[in-house]
Amino acid sequence: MKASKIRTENLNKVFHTRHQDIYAVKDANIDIREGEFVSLIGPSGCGKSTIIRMIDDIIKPTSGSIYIDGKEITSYKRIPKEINQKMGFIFQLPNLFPWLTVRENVGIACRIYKIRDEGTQRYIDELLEMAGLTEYQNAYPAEISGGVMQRIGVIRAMVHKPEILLMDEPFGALDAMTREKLDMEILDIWKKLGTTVIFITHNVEEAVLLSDRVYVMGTNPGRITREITLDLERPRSLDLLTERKFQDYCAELTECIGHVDLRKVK
Amino acid sequence: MKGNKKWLNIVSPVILLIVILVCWELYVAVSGIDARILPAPHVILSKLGERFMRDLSGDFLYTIQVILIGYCISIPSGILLAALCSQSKLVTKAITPVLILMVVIPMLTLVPILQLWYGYVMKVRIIVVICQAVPIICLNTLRGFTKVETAKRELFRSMGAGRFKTFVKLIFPNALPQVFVGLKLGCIFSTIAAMSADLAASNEGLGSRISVYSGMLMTDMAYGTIIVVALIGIVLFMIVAYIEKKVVIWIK
Ligand SMILES: Nc1ncnc2c1ncn2[C@@H]1O[C@H](COP(=O)(O)OP(=O)(O)OP(=O)(O)O)[C@@H](O)[C@H]1O
Ligand SMILES: [Mg+2]
Repeated sequence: MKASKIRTENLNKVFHTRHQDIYAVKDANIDIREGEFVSLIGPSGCGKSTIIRMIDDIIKPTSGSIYIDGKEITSYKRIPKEINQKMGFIFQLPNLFPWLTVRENVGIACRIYKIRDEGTQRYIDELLEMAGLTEYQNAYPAEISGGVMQRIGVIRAMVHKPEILLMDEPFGALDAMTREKLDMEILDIWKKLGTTVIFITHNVEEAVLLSDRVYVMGTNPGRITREITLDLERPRSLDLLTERKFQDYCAELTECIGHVDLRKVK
Repeated sequence: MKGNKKWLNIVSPVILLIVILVCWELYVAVSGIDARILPAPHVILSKLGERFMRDLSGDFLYTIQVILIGYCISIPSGILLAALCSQSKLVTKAITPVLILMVVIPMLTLVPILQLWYGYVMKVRIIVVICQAVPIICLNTLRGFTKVETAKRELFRSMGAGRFKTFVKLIFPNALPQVFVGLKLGCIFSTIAAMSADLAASNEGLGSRISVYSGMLMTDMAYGTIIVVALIGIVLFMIVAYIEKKVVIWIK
C-alpha cells in the first residue's frame, strides 16, 4: 500500500459570523494515499469547499491537524513554498484574470512560483494542446465560452506540476454533456501524471465514475458520515454508466446522502 | 458595422456643435444683442485667430506648463498614496472622507496663503493643481485597489503569493480601469484648478486673461480664451482616454 499523501486529524472549522457560529467542518478525518482519486460528496453547505480550502492553506482550521506527505502544516502561519507548490487548486468558477490572455492565465502559477526553466513554455504548450486550447491561447477570457474557461481553470492548476490536485466542483456549472467529456479528460490527465486528487462534487454519478473512494458528508455540523471504496475496473469510460455495478454504487451513495439529509430534518 | 459606429462617435458631437453654433449665430443676428454681452461665434473665432499669437501665446504656454507639471506630479503621487493606504483597512476608512473633502474644497483658496510663503511664482499654482488633482486620482484608485474579488485573492493565496506579488500581479492590474477613471477626472480637475489659481493670483495665465478681458469689456476675447482653455482640457482628456484604450484592452 502506498504512503499517505494527505491526512487530516480531527479537523474543525467554525466560522464566527455576526449572528451565529457556523460549524462548517466538525472532526473530519480523511486519509488519502499517493496517486489516489478521492471524491468528497454531500449537499450544498456541508463544508466540502471548506475542507480543501484548509488543505490548500487558503483558510486556517479552527483546530486539528493536516499532514501533507507526513508533514504537519497547520502550525505554519503561511506554509512553506515547497509544500504549497505541491498543490494545485481548481475553483468552483473559472476565476480567470481578464487582463491576461488564455496562455498567460495558464502560466500564472509559474510567474508566482518563479519557475522559469525552458521546459515551462513547452509544458504550457503541451497542456494547451491536451485541453484543446491551442487555438485560443492568445484570446482574452471575455472572448471565450464557459466550458473553455473551466478547462483553462483546470490546466492552470497543473502548470507547476503539482503532486496533488484539489478540485472544487470544477464542472458544476456546466451542462451534463460537457461535464462528462471533461470528466474523461480529467481521468486521462490523472492517469498520465499520477497525481493525487481530491474531487468535490454533489453529483453521485460523477463521483462514482471518477473515484477510487468517496467520502460522504452531511450538514449541520458539516462532517464526514460515510466512506465508500469503489471496486470498479480502470481505465473507466462512459460505458460504465450503464453497468449494473455502477448503478448499484450510485444507489448506495444516493441513499447515504438522503439518509444524512433526513436526519438533518429531524 | 463597427467601423460605422466609430465614425458616428466623431461625427455626431461635431454636428451637435455646429447646430449650437448656428443657433447662437442666428440668435445674435436676430436679437441684435449687444456684442459686449454676447458676441457672435464667428467674431470670437476671428478675433481669437487674429490676436492669439500676439496677446495670448505667453499666457497659454504658462498655463499649459502649470497644468502639465501639476498633473504629471499628481499621477504618481495619487497612485502611490492610494497604494500605501490600501494596505490597511483602517487607514482606507480613515482617509476616504478626508479625500472626498479635499475633492470638494476649491483649492484656489490656498493661493493667498501660498503666495505669502513663496511669493508670486509658478510653483504656487502648480501646488494648487496638485492639491486638487491628487485627491480625485487617489480616491478613485483607492476604490480600485480595495475592490478585488475574493476568489481572485484566494487564488493568489493558494499560490502562496506575498503582499508585494499580490499587489503587482493582482491588485494593480485589477484596478487599472478604476485608475483610469481617476486619471481622466484628474486631468479635468488639473485644468480647472489651474484656471482658478490664475484667477486668484491674477497676473499671468489664461485664467487671469479671462478676468482682464471681461473687465475691459472685450467679451469676444474673454470667450475666445475660454475656448482655448476648453480645448486644453479636451485634448488632455482625449490623450488619457487614448492611452486607456491601449492599456485596458480587456474591457470593450
Ligand atoms: N467565510 C465564511 N464565513 C462564514 N461562513 C462561511 C464562510 N465560508 C463558508 N461558510 C459556511 O460554512 C458552511 C460550509 O461552506 P462550504 O463552502 O464549505 O460548503 P460546500 O459544501 O462547499 O457547499 P457548496 O456545495 O454549495 O459549494 C456553509 O454553511 C457556509 O455558509
Ligand atoms: Mg463549495
